[in-house]
Amino acid sequence: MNGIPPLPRPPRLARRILGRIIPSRLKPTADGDFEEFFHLIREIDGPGKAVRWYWSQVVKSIPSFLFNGIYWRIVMFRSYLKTALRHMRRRPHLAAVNIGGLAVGLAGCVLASLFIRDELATDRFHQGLDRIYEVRSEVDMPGDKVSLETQGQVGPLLASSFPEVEAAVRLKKIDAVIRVGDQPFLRKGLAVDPSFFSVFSFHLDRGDPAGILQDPSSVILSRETAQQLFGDSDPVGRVLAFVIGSETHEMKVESVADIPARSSLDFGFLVPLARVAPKIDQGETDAACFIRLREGARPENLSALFPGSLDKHLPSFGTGGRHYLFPFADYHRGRGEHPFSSVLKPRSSPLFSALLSSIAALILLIAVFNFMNLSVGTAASDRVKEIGMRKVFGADRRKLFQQFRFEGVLLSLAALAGAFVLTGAILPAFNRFAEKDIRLLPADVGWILPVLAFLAVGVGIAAGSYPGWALNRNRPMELFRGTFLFGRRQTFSRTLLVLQFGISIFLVITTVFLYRQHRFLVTSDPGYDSERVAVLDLRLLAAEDRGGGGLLPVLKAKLLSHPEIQSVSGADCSLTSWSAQVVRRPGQSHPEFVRFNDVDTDYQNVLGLELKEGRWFSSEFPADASASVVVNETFAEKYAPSGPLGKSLAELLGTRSTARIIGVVRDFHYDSLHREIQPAMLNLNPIVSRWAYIRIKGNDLRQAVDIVEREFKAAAPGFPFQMSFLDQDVDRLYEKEARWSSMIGIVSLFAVLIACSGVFGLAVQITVRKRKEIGVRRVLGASVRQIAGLVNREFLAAAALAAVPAWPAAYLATRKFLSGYAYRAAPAVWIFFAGTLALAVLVALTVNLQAVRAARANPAVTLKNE
Amino acid sequence: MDRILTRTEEYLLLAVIKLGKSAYPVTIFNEIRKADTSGGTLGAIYLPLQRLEESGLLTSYLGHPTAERGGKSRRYYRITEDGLKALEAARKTQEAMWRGIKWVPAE
Repeated sequence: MNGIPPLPRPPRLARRILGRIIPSRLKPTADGDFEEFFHLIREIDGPGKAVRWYWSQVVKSIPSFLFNGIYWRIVMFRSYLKTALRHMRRRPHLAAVNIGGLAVGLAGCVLASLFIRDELATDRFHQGLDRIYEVRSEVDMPGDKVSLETQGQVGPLLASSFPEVEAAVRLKKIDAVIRVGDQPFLRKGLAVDPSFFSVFSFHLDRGDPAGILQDPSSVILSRETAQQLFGDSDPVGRVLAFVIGSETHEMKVESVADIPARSSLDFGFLVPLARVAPKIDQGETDAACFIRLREGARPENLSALFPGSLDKHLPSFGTGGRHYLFPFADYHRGRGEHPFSSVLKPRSSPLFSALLSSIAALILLIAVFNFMNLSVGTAASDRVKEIGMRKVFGADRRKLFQQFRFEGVLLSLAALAGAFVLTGAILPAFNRFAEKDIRLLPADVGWILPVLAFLAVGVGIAAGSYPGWALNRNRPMELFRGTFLFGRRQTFSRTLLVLQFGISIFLVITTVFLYRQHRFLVTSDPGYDSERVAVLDLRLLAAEDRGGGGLLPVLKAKLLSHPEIQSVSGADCSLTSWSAQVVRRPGQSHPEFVRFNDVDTDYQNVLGLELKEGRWFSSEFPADASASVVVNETFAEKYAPSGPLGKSLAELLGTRSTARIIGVVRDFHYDSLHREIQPAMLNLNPIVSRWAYIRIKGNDLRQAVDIVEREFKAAAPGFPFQMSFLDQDVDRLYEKEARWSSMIGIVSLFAVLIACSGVFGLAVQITVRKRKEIGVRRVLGASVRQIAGLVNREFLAAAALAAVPAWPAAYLATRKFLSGYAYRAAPAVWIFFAGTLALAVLVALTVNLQAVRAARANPAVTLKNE
Repeated sequence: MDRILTRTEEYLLLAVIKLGKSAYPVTIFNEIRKADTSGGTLGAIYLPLQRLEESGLLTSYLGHPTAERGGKSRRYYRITEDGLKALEAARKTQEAMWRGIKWVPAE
């Protein structure tokens, strides 16, 4: 051997490259071919030529070999696809459950991502958003601190004496009736300083943002308002009559502003502050104040300067206080304690984002594990022989892995597509709930799609790897015999199952509680008759001439001439927002609140208030208007336990009024049921009526509304007609409860659906594992029912176990929720049992889909292969 | 025969027939190079060979590894009944297409 010199070999680098590019299926022979050819040429033409030939062949072969690899991958892909589709077609319900479960989980993720993306994008359109701050004042009160908007002087002072402040703007929210010809439009807008556009970056149709709103009679309309008022014609230069408060202003449209959908600052129009509140510079009123800092200015430095120069401009009712800056950018990011702002749209609670994303994460987690469980379950029952066959034919471990992974990815991508369809379907409901306008547009989906696609592929690979690994471990013969073992204990699956049941039970119980509380709020007797009562908003009229009272008698007489109208009453405060008066009773250190309302003589009649003692106001007693009050039961019990009739307010409450109590009405909810009924009193005051209540006779509401509208327009031409029905107003008080109960309802439905899909996957696994046992039991005479019961038992035990932590959790959660209400639906133990039982029944049904089938299997077949 | 052979496939099949028992990529490539002197790439003949085998026109078996091949085996190819039929069909097509053409190439 030693005598023969070793053969020279082709250059190493070239050989390396060739080794890299040769497709795996050519590995055993092709580089040999190259080497043999190399020697062939070396012998004829010499080594130099051979090396050159080898190199050139390697380089020239790169495209061919690459294509070769791709070609076979496509062939393989087609084979995988065929197998996967064939498999799905054979068990379509299983594939549907598997895809559907994951789709629901991913849909939750899509929704949460869309929501958070929307939140993050809010207000981003302002240039240099990080330099915009709201200035607030914190006022010290005895034993308390109140955060308020600033006094009028603060804004101009900041702009003039602080070099760090680039611009400052004061904003005040105003309502206006805009008259275009005869048509009145009620719009909400802002009165602002001309520096508005130096602080905020709204796009203007025309005009230089720096020089706009200088003229005190100029107005800027939002795109939406402009469209509603003028349609498509150009509004710029048109003169409009603005009724603001008691004054009418002739205003000229200067420009149109675009308000992006994701803006927490929303307005229908902008008018100069100097026009509507000329005395603001003297600090007569307060206003929201926003500043823009110069680039590089440090807000902390500014805050440090505040005490000396600004703090003399604090409301006089406090004992002192300070000013501070709140970053505008944080308003929607849920950071910091931004106090209530009068000019910004309410922000959604940061708690909601957190809740939504944790629910989404939880659902996704469960869906992913179910997906894996189901994959294993189906693989175990159906694919065993196929895998054995593949192994016999020489498929290696990697190829088997690939087949499963491919199927996992295929299913998870199908689920992703399903998730987007599902999201599209629930988005309208979700938008209503979250008070958002989120859409499933490509621009909005943005990074969510690639991230979720990545996630889905990851889930698919993970889900595909597990059964692949579990089945692949087994030797082919064992697979054929069906004696393979995997995941025998399944501690993990079981824990997961209990967890899912727990979450489902928790959510179902909470849903029922929420629903019941909402029903209770809507259906409980408020103490007055809210049906067939129309509510007419007269506030604009009252503001114009303090004469709602002047108009109401006229309107009343007209309305009562129609047989459809039973009675009409006027009141100063609407039913849900009564005024409050602070009283200091003699001998009491703490001030107390007494709620009150000014009404007319028909109030009791229209609302159906029940009189308990004494009498109601009457036109037969002219002195009633100043010398009489009617109180509620709570008032009577608290302040006049010895009998209220004839007592004067001065002696009971220590007030200056000497009015005497003439009657007591049964307690009624002048406020929502969130709050407890407080002592309340009614005064007779037919002069100021900002609201009218109209009781309608008969059931033809539509005709009655027509009559009211006609008479209103005749009596108050040029004013917007704003009417609602009392029962609907009352329902609207509990809108939040309605939304929450439907949202939690949807979430629990999802959770239960996913849990059922998990149950199904596990049931398949268990019945496959126990196939032999079931066969033996059948042979020994067990009935189908007994065997199905055997499988059921495991799941029902899990459900019972899950109830152990779910009940106290649900109890605590509902108690916390219900503590927000002064009046609650009676607690009920049956809900806990019913919620658990409902889940158990659903689980039993799901399990039996599989268990009965397994129990019916012919034992001769299941026991044969041993 | 459902598919028409490409020119490369035709050459490969013919080379395999000519080479008889010693048909493996090296000799096949050499054989084609002798007829078509414009060169060619060794790496480019593998995929057509594999596809011919997939379609059942060729069969293959592994030989023994040798030192001059760096210890790698040869994959020998043999034509099948179907391969012969396909060649015959290709030839018939070729002749049918040429039939009636009056043009004579200049020598």
